[in-house]
Amino acid sequence: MATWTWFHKLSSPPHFYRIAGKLIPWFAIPAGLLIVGGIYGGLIRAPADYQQGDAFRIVYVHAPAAWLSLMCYTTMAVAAAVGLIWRIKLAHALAAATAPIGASFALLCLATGSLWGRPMWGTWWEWDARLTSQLILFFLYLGYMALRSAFDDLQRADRASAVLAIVGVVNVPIIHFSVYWWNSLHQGSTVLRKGGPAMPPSMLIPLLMCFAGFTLLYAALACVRLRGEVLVRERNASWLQELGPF
Amino acid sequence: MNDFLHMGGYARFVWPSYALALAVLTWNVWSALRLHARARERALRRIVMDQSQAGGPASIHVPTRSGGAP
Repeated sequence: MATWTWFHKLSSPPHFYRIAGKLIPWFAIPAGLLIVGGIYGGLIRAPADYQQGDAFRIVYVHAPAAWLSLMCYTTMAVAAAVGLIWRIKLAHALAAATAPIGASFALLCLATGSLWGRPMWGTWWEWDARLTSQLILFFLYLGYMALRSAFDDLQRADRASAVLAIVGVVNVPIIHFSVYWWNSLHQGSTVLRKGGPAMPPSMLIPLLMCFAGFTLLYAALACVRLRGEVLVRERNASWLQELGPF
Repeated sequence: MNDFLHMGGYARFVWPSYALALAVLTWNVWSALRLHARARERALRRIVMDQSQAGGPASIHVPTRSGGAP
């Protein structure tokens, strides 16, 4: 009951606006430290891979970008479903705020994957299950944002784009399991696999730092974007006048 | 240092990857801050307009990109 009351209170735009403003530095500062530390560990401290040499160091930006592109889409779909079912405006705002972040990291994942694939596979691109499903994810993000911008009415944009986000989430498990379901050039999971991660700690710890840093960065960016979305959506709300210098 | 920059012969793949990552991170921070700043500016303008229409003093300072009065 207390959880539901807390959730209900948090979904109120004025309350959320204040809370999100306070949370941003708590997400952004650790995110910056973890990303810098992880990149330092990955580029300088970690040894070269016995097969891939120094090219493996691309993993420290490629894998966290891939993780974030999937996590953002799942967040977007869940938020869209919550917005559609319970008609919570803030949930639709979260989905809208998440889309550009997810799209940018899906693009980063594709670009760094291509840069990694060229020396390892001998090709920039292959119409392989993992690469193709990741490209579809990027197009789903673009479709979601294009659909939203096609409507002048925000509520209609929320509803229509929510349906696309929910339908498109089927692609997320396809991306994750594609390397097991089909023959793929792409390697299987290195961290989340049976028998534990296939990396020594000197390589693994910087990677985990980058995963955590990128995730916290998403939280900070989502808070900033959501505050902007709230200001756009609460056009006639009296609470805006009570906020003072916001 | 040269060995580090050379990246075992993979420099032309590794460094562009990190440059792209830096560009994406920078864009994300810049665009999120810009989105919020613009929404905030518009909200403040609306409040000032509402107050002036209601006959009250338009006392809230509305920042502009140039930093001067609107």
